[in-house]
Amino acid sequence: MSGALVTPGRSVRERTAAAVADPDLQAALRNLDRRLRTGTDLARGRPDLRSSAAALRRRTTAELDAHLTRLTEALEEAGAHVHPAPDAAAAVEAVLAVARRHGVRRVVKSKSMATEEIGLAAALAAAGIEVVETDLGEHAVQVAGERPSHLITPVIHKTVGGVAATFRVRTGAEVPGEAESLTRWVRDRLRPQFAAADLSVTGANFAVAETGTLVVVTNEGNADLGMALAPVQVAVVPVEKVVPRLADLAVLLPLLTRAATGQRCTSYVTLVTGPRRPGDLDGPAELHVVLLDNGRRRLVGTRYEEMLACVRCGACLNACPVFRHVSGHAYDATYSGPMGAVLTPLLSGGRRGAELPWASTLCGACTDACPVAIPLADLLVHLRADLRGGDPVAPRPRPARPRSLGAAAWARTWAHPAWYRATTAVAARLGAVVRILGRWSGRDLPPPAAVRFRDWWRRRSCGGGGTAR
Amino acid sequence: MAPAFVRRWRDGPVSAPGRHGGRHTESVRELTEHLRAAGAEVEGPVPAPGAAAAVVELAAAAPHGAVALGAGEHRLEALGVPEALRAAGRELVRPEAADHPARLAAAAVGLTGAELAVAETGSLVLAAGPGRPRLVHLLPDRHVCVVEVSAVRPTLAEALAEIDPRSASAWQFVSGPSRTSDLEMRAVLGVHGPLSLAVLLVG
Ligand code: SF4
Repeated sequence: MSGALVTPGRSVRERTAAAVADPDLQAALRNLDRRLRTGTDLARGRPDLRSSAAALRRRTTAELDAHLTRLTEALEEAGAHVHPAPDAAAAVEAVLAVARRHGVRRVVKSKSMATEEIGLAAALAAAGIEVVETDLGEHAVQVAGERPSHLITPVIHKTVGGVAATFRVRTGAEVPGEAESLTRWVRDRLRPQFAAADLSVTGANFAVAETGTLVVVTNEGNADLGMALAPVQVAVVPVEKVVPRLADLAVLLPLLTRAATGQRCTSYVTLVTGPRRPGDLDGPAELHVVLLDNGRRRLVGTRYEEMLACVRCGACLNACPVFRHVSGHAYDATYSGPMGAVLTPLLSGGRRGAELPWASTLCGACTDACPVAIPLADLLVHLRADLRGGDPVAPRPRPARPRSLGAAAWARTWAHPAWYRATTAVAARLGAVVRILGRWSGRDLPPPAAVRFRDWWRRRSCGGGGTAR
Repeated sequence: MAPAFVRRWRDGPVSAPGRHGGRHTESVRELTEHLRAAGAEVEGPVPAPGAAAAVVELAAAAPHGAVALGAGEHRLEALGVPEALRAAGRELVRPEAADHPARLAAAAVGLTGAELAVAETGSLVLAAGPGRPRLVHLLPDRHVCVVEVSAVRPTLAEALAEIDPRSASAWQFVSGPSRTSDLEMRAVLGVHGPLSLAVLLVG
């Protein structure tokens, strides 16, 4: 586990308090309203799409290793080099080895949370390689020396003015302060970088096992430019991105883009199968795929397996009342919001982000918004319990919990229908006594109903038409 | 052997209007609507003989610089497009210029032909390959794409069923000009790819 997953910092309580007190951040976060309901509306509007996607993702993760075997074979058949990476360090080393072999000096990167997770940019920089983030938001974050604060919109913690100011300070250039001209400024700044790159690093939104195809989804076209121009491509692909068949994309792609940005389809969806072919005029001569495990495969078969269905759309972040007030940095983790609060402790075996499952009101807005119906709120509750023992997915015997004698006797009595019948009949008659007992114990003991349900039911079905009084 | 889409292109237009009957007309309308919603210009459908003139006109919106060809020469020649562009005084850049990205980047227009189009998602489907570099529709400021009406499919599922991704190193679904919403979650067109996208429906 690399230390890059989370940087140490103050407690989540302090960070959230600071975030709420930051007027610039609060002004920027108001923009989240634009996507407040993308996920929820989709989930309500296309329940058919949601349920088939949810089922498809669960079927796939249940057989994860079989699909990964298939994917590896198909990738190799297409001419790609596959590097299975059990952890972050192995993944970073695989990329560095490729870079060394090709004498790489400049890398263009498109946005990929997996590369954030393994701390790839820092590792490449430490090896003396210049890394340029090319996604507009991610580039702003890189120039500022920060980390992304949202899965889809990395610089959601800043206004346009804030982004322009950062560029001005860091580059000393005249930077326009309005969205359209700022975008052109970034375009002009990055064009030469694409042309000069020796290596492009991308992620993949899906990987098709049947054909060995990587699916790269962007709006800006930055990943496509990098892939077309750089002589070598490395794609860092977390294992749960695998989908069995090409046809599965017909469900998953529209679902991902609608939940993420509300678009029918993003501007660019590229299916990459192998490196450049004879006769091709551009594209990488070599394609490397790093298959990243890093704590994922061990979730299969546990109560947290469902988290592997996540397609990283960000809808749960947009819907979460906590995220909407504090933004991603308060979580101090690669993945933030509800999905980050679940994923961070899971991927790190409880060593990181153990306090995050408590930074939630459990209102369930995330569960409602999730396009693949991951019960995020339930998982947060499970984690609160399981994290007490350290690693939430380590097999451990349930501790025999000592129970009070009274509770034990009560459980034994009500386990038998006859005893249950007898005691509830008495309680119904002695309602007043029970009430007094309740007050005396200092607890809110609800008074027993005057007529038991079973009595009401019997009277109703025999006498015909009797009602409870 | 050449993949099916290449053969179809070489053999010239195989317009089969009414292949899907009324549903097909509906698909063309839906494709147009979704592309426009994403910020693209859509013209046509125009009959094949009028296609060359229409392409010249769409290219004229970006008059300063060459037109880069990236749709496979056979197809564009069948429609008489290169001739018409030359007659209109446009300099042409052959697909092989992808070896010299600077020449492509200096072109004003990248001209492509879609193998398929998807009405449901508003997507043009382009395959990389000989005569069809990926950069042609990425580097120039304007992307002009020719789509045969008979190549429009109603749903993504139907389009995917016709594609074997292994037949090309890259299949690209283009659904609008390059865009971002990284700044305050508001859409801005024209980031790293083309600033504008114009689509010509033929058939
Ligand atoms: S948990 Fe669901 S809503 Fe959240 S990012 Fe993952 S897929 Fe999207």
